[in-house]
Amino acid sequence: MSEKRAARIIAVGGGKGGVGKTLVSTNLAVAMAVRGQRTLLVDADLGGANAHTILGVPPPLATLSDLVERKANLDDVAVNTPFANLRFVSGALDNISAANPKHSAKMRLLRQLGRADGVDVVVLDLGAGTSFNTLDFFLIAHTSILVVLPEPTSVENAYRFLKAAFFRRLAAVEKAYGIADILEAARSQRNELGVHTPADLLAAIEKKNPDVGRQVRAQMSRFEPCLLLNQALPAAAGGTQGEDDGTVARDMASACRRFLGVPARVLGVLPEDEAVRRAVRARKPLAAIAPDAPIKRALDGVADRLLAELGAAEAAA
Amino acid sequence: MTSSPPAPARTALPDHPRGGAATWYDVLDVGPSAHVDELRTAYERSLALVEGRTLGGYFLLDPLAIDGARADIEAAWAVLSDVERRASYDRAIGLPASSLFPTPAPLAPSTASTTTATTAPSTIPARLPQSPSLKFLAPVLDDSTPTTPPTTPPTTPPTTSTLPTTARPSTLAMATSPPAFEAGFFALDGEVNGQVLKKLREARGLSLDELAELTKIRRPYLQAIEDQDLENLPARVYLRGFLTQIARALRVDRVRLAEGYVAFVARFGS
Repeated sequence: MSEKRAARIIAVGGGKGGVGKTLVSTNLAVAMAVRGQRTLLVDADLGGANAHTILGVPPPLATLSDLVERKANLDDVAVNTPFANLRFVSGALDNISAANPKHSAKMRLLRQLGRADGVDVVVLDLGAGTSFNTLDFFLIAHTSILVVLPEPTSVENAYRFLKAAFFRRLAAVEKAYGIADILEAARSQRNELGVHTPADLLAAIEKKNPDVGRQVRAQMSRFEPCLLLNQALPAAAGGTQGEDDGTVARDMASACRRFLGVPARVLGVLPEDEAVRRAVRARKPLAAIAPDAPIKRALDGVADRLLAELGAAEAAA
Repeated sequence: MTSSPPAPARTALPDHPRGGAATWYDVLDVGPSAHVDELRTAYERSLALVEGRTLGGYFLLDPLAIDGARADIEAAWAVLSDVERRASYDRAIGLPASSLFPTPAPLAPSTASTTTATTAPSTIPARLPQSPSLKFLAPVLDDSTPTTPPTTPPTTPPTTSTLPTTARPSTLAMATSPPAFEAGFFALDGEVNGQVLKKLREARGLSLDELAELTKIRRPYLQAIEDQDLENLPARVYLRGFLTQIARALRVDRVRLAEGYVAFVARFGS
């Protein structure tokens, strides 16, 4: 019966490069596979794919771009890995033109992945930045994970990413709701509506048309990004401002809910762990190099929580 | 001078948060049974967050949006730290009446406003002690609730229980204030630190910006004084003068406040 239902899509993004998106997505995919989920890890960092290196498989000859351009079907591009239940689709690598596919092509790709036979979970490893590509993949996922480091640059980029994602998602429904003029006014330099946050924008829409406002609000409340803090130190080891780094994640999720109007939540906190460096250098997942490392156990916890949520969502559907 | 300070926040509070939170409790990220000490911590944390002073809030908001978030936090604090206002808000959002907050005792009749014609009109009542940690902060009159204390004359417009705003700058300019003015003062005993000054200011329903307007002291200095932020305190030669101005605006004993705080800083700094 599991053949019939659509796979759950988990996207891992982060706004900034080097925060551990590929580390998280690769090891999460392995953890899902170990838990019996037939998993497809998709390197969707179309311009800078290297999940294959973290996973320890050679870069496949057929890639995501072939799938996007309909030169191949899923079974041609999804290669087996040393891990049972885990298959891998590589990003576009050096194919410049394919690194920027059309919106319709991307959506078709994701529908295709989601309906593929014998796939329970799709894990998307996204690129850095706030390109429409990245945002669209982030937004279409059932679970959107934002990886953040306890560093100002990463926090700043994460907020920028979240705001960009919110507006991108809103743009997708602007025609349906007839709110293009408000969005345009909010984007303009003078911004006479005084829109500075997603919450401001929803309020402006609601003010103009309460009915539409309620619908858009309901639509946008489904955008629930999950924060995953990486490289966290406890207070005693030099955490942030005398507190455990986990505080940063809790503060961020709380701030998103309270002051941006985005219902973000904390998915987990991954400790700083030298095992990461060892695993990357060995070009193998953590499970193969350091099965008992603190970060591996933390990622297992994240995988368990996600599966519980996906199971609950399915039971409800 | 044509511009007058903004009306005190307590007369113009919005009825709900603007920034995405559903309730004032959500604005401060506290539960509906939060004690006032917890509220204060949450209030300070929230401000630090939206102002980007904690890492988790770094570039959360662009500069124009910070004011809006700050307004939510200040309003949440103004409502929830005030026993009567909080009770009325709890009813409005359908929370059961809380036993955590005793019904405020009737406020003592104020004599301050009747003793002199030389001061700006003030009907701020004497505050009753409520708890050891909050001895300056017996419930503030809440004009927006139907249970207006009987001490307020029925003809008094609602704003008169707050600090007079337009007359204040000229009063401050006076070299000395009349002794009768002391009658409306808070008692000020015990240690005088930044927390105490902050409580006093909040009891007067003043934001930092409003206090800055009243005292003509720049807000960062006021913030540093309340935060006991030694690095950013005004130079010692100015500090005492600033404290005197603050004492006048808050109507507390000037000498006690200034000397008390200077002594506190001397201990704190050593």
